[in-house]
Amino acid sequence: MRKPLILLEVIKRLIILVVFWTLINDLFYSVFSGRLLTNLARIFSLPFSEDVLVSFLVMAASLLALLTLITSNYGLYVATSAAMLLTQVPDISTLSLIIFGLMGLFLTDTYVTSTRHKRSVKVFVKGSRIYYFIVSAIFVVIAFLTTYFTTLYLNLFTSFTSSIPATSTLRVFGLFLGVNPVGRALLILVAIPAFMKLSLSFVDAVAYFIIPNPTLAKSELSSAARFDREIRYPFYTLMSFIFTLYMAPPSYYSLRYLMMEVLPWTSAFIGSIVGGSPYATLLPILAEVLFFFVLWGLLSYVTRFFRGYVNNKLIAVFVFLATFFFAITYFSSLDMNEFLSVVYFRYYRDFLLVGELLLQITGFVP
Amino acid sequence: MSYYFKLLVLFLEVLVLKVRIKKWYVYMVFAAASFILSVVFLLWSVYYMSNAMVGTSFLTALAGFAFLASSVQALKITAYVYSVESGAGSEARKES
Repeated sequence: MRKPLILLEVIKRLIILVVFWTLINDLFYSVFSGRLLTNLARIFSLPFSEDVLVSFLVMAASLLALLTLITSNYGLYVATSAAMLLTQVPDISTLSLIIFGLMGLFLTDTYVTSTRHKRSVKVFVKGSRIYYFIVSAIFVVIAFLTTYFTTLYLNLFTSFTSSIPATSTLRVFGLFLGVNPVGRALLILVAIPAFMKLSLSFVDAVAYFIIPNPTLAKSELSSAARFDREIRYPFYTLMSFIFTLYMAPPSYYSLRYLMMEVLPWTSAFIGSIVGGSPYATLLPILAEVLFFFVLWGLLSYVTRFFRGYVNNKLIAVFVFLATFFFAITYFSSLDMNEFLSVVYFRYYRDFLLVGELLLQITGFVP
Repeated sequence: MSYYFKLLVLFLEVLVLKVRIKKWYVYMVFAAASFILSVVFLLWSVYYMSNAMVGTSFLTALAGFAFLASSVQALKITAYVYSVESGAGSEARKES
C-alpha cells in the first residue's frame, strides 16, 4: 500500500516540474552563471525601471516554483502560476500547461485520498486489466478536453478584449484585460478556479457512472445534496455598497436642499465654524465622501437583518421604493430620469476630483 | 406559478411511476438542457465582447457559467441516482 502513494507523490512532483520547467531551469542557470547576484544588485539600485521589475518577477517566480516543487502545495502552485503569467504575455501553450497541471494534481490527489481510506470505502472495478486502462484513459481524455475547452474560451475572451475598436470609450478597459499582464492574470486567475471546481464535479459524476456505488451514493444524496436550502442571493457582502451607490446622491442632495432652503440657520451655523479655514472650497467634496461612508455603514447595519436570504420584507421594500419613485414622477412636473442623471453625475464627478487630488498629493500626477 | 409547478411534478410522477422510465433520465434531461443553455450563453458573451459591449459580455458570461454549474450539479445528482438505481436492480436480482 505504501509504494503506490510514494509513486503518486513522485507523479505530482513530475507534473509540477514539467509545468514550471522553464522557471526552474532559469533559476539553476542564473545561480551557476552568477547572473543571480547581478540581478539582485540591480533590484536594490534606486532607479527603478520596468526591466528591473520583470527580472525581479522572474526571480520570485522561479523561487516560488522551486518551493512548489518541494512542497507540492496548491496555494504555492497558484502563486507561482500568477507570477509566471505576470512575467510574460501568456500564449496558449503556457496557459493550457498550467490548467492541465492543476487538473492532473487534483486527479492524483483525489486518487491518493481514495486509496488512503480504502478500508472504510470499498471501491473496486470489476473486470480484467484492460478495463483499468480504459478507465484511466477516459479520465486522461476528460482532463485533456476540459483543459482544451477552458483554454479555448479564455483565449477567445482575451483576444476579443484587445480587438475593441479605437473609437470606443471602453478601449482602455479592454486593453487592460487583454494586453496588460496584471489584468490578463486577474481575468485568468478568476476564471480558472471556477472552471476547475466544475470539472472536478464532472469527473466525480463520470466516476459514479463508470463504477456505480449505491451505498456511497445514498449517503451522498442524504447528506451533501440538500434541496430544502433557502436561496442565498449573490453579492450579499457587496449589497450594502451597491445600495449606497444608488441611494447616496439623491439623499445627499435632498439633505443639502433641506439645510440650505428649509433650515437656513444650520448652514449659517456650519458656515460660522468652517468659514475661516483655507480649505473651504474642498469641504463640500469632503462632506460628500464622508456622507457616502456614513450611509454605507448605516446600510450595512440595516442589510444585516436580511441575513442574505430572499424574503418577503426585502421584496416589500423594493416594491415600496419603486411605487414611491413612480408616484413622484407622476405627480410632479420633474423629468425624473434627467434630474437623477444630473444628480448622479455631479456627485460622482466630485469623487473623481478627490481621486485626482489624492494622486496629486502622493506625487503620481503633476 | 405553483399550479404549473404542481402540474410538472405530476407529469414527472406519471412518467416515472406509470410509464416506468428510469428516474435518472429526468435529471439527465435537465442537465443536458442547462448545458445547452450554458454553451449558448458563453458563446453570446464572446460575441458581445467582439462587439465591444464589455458589461453585457461579462453579465452573459456569468449567466452562462451559472447554467454550466447547475448542469454539472444536475449531472452529479444523476450519477448518484443512477448508481442507487443500478444497485437496487442488482440487489433485486440477487434476491430472486
